Amino acid sequence: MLKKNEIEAVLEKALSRNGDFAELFFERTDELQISMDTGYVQGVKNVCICGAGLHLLDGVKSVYVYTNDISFRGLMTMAEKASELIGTGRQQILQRPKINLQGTLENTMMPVNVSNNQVKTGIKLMQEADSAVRNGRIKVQSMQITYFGTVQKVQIANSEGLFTGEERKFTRIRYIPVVGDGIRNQTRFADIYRPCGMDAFVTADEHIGFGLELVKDIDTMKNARTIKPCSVPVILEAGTGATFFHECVGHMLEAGSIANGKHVLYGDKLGKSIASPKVTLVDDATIPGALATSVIDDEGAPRRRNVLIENGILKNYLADRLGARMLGIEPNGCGRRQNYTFKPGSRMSNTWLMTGNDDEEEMVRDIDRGLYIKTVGGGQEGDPFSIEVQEAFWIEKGEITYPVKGVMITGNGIELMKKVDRVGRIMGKEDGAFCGMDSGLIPTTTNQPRIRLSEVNLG
Amino acid sequence: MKEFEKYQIAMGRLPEYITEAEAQIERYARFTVSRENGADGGGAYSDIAELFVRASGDSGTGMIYTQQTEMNAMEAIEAAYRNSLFSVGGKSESMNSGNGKYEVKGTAEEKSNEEMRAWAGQLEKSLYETGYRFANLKLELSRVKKVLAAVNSKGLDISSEYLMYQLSVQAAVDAGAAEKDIVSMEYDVSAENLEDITSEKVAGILNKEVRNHVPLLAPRSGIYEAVLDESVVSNMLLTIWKMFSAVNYINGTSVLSGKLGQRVAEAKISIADRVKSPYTGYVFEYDCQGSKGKDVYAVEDGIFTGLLHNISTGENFSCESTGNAGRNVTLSGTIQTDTVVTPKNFTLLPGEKTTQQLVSDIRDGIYINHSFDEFHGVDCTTGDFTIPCEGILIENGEVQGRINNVFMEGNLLDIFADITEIGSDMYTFPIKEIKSYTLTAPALKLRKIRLSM
Repeated sequence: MLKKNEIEAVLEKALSRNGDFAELFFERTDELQISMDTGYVQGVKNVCICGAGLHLLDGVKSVYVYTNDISFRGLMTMAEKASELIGTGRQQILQRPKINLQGTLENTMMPVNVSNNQVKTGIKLMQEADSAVRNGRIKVQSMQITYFGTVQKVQIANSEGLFTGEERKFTRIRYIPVVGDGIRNQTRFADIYRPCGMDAFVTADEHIGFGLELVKDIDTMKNARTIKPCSVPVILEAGTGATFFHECVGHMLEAGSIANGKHVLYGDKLGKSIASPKVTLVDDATIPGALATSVIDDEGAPRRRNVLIENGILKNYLADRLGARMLGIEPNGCGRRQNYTFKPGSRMSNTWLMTGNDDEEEMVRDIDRGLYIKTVGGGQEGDPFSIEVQEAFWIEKGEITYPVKGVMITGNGIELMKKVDRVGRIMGKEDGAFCGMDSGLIPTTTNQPRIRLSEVNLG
Repeated sequence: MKEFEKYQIAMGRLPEYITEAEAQIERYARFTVSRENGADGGGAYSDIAELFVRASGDSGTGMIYTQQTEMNAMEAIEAAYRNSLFSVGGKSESMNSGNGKYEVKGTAEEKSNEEMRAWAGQLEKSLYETGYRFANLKLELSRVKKVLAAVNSKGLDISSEYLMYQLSVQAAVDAGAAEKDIVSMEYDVSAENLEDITSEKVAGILNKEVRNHVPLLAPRSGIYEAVLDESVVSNMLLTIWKMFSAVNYINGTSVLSGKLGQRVAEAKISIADRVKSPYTGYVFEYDCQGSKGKDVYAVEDGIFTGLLHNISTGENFSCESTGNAGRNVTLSGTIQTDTVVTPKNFTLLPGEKTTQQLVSDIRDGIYINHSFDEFHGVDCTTGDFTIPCEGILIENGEVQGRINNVFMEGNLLDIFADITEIGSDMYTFPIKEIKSYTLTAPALKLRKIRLSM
């Protein structure tokens, strides 16, 4: 780990030709991975991600360099490369003010040791889930389970004197069951996450219930029917249903993608109505215990609660430092990246639809013909956006009936958000998932109460 | 690679309780210059080395992955071995044998940073000279060097090094008479030599996007004769390749399970997975198990002829690995360490007519020119797909307009059987998150496809 004066020297070197801001992002991530295939422990692995990235800005011009040689010499070489890239065309070496980092930090680059007991506990958790699932009433051909126990330590120093850091812990178990009779099989993967160590699963049996529920859901869908194309009311169940808002509006409010012209739909809509008055959407990275919560973002800024849409009116964008400069707004703690090999970007965290006052049961009862969506999968942001429907049921005369397959939701975000005509009272919880964009795959959550869209075209 | 020499020495000094060991290092160095709307747009530089160490004992195989390549070699092997002690009921992973040192080095010329800047500037100038009114034009030109080396206690000692160039373009042009009638495009291309990265293909795609930006019609359902644009087909390959993975074939999650040797497509169709491709700069001399890459014909003239294998799936079929062992297959958010099967340069082979000619041959039908989110809309277990898309409606040989917010639906096996012609224009899907393989396809003309609103 570099000394403070060495970090200052690297930042000064980076700014020696040009640029008005430099930031160093150090990361050490240690991860325990355990793989199990149908009851057999296939492999135990230790993963170590260790390196640094240097972000250099000159107005809205950006240079990003990174390396896993984190010696002083390695980082000075990196700073020289960054300086060359940002300083193209300039011959004169500028005189820069000396950088003074504020505060002190512990050495974040020390390894996290994994004990034998931790490995054994991880294996025990997986065996419990595997045994419960494969000894259940539903025929399971094979079951892959992977355990990930992750500790990410980050440290950020910048030319404005900021010197801060954070340790983040995650535990994740990924299930990939193959359900069926060996001739007609179905599979999909699902993850259960907790933003803490493995204790979350040791003290509760959630990992068992999660595996059983996944297998049950896959089995239910094996008898699903297709429906004819139609335009009907749609219920999105509490919990993951908020992926709808994540894809149809969340990504489109990321400052960087608005500024570079990738997403233009909401770029001129600040203060205007873009959704039903029932929609209040908040991106809140301060919710205790939520997967995407942290104290600082990956640029060292304090995380915040950002109200994006309030009663249907667009109130705010998600802004990292560069995206904010490009849009001419203030950054609001939304600079995130998968790891040091990615330049930070404007990203979502816990993007939740706030509860309303509508009765959950009445929403279904009131529908003559429609669709009840219990689980959605991933999707693609944009205009049009799209979302995969993983588990859905047809509604007939106010009753939820048979499972339906082959459904996706697509369309224009503003048009569909205007069609939200019911928002329930009970917030649903989901574990979270990975969201992928230019700054990598990051954990996010998308919670909501049960909602209804008055009319949706279904393929 | 200098930091790898210590592993070459350590393999000859393993303690008795370690039955086999292997170390693999992958090094990526990337230099990127950027042009943005006529000006220098900054750039990027990176140099990363990753080390994978496996060790087997009586219980099984353990592994460590680290980016701290200065780690003591024997300590790394011992750490991997200690992890193997937790294996229960499993078996040791197979490792390749080798016969002495083998090195492969690409032939591409390494251009200097200044030459890269000059080439990026020239590409940008050529695009401005097309006459389009650009609302936004961003180019990123990268030089990528990849080095892979592997050594193990069974005599494997290989290294391969290659260089390629990549261009990524984001453009928005004012396409119409109406104010702010903006057409956007993104395009990625790669090649072994910088001189093969030209503006012509980018300009061609831009022309096509502008040409297809016709007035919008109300969405509609129905069954149509169709041409699927090469970008649409290459996007579908994102899932289709899994149907040819031996892992999926064996566990019954490929719709093609049990059909090896059978006709699965029209006789015009051939699909190959190649070490080198004329359409990309990617070269796969070795895979992540140190197996030499082989060209595989997955489908030859409509017959399902080959699977993509790593060592363990090959053992199931009493054949050798095809050099398709890979790690990056699903979006995981972490370093993936499980060795699975991934494609190399996976390509649906071209026909003779251009996409424009295929579209011109339609009297009444639809030209699907954009599709979205195939990653979630295709089920390779059943072959069923529902893909959001956009297309151009053609009646009496005349373009009627554009329809969006529709879905194309059906089963992939039906699509394979309904192909009447194959295009010659090839498109490689730009996979941002998964950089370890390529998917390339031509346009396809189909007897019918079902569209729904």
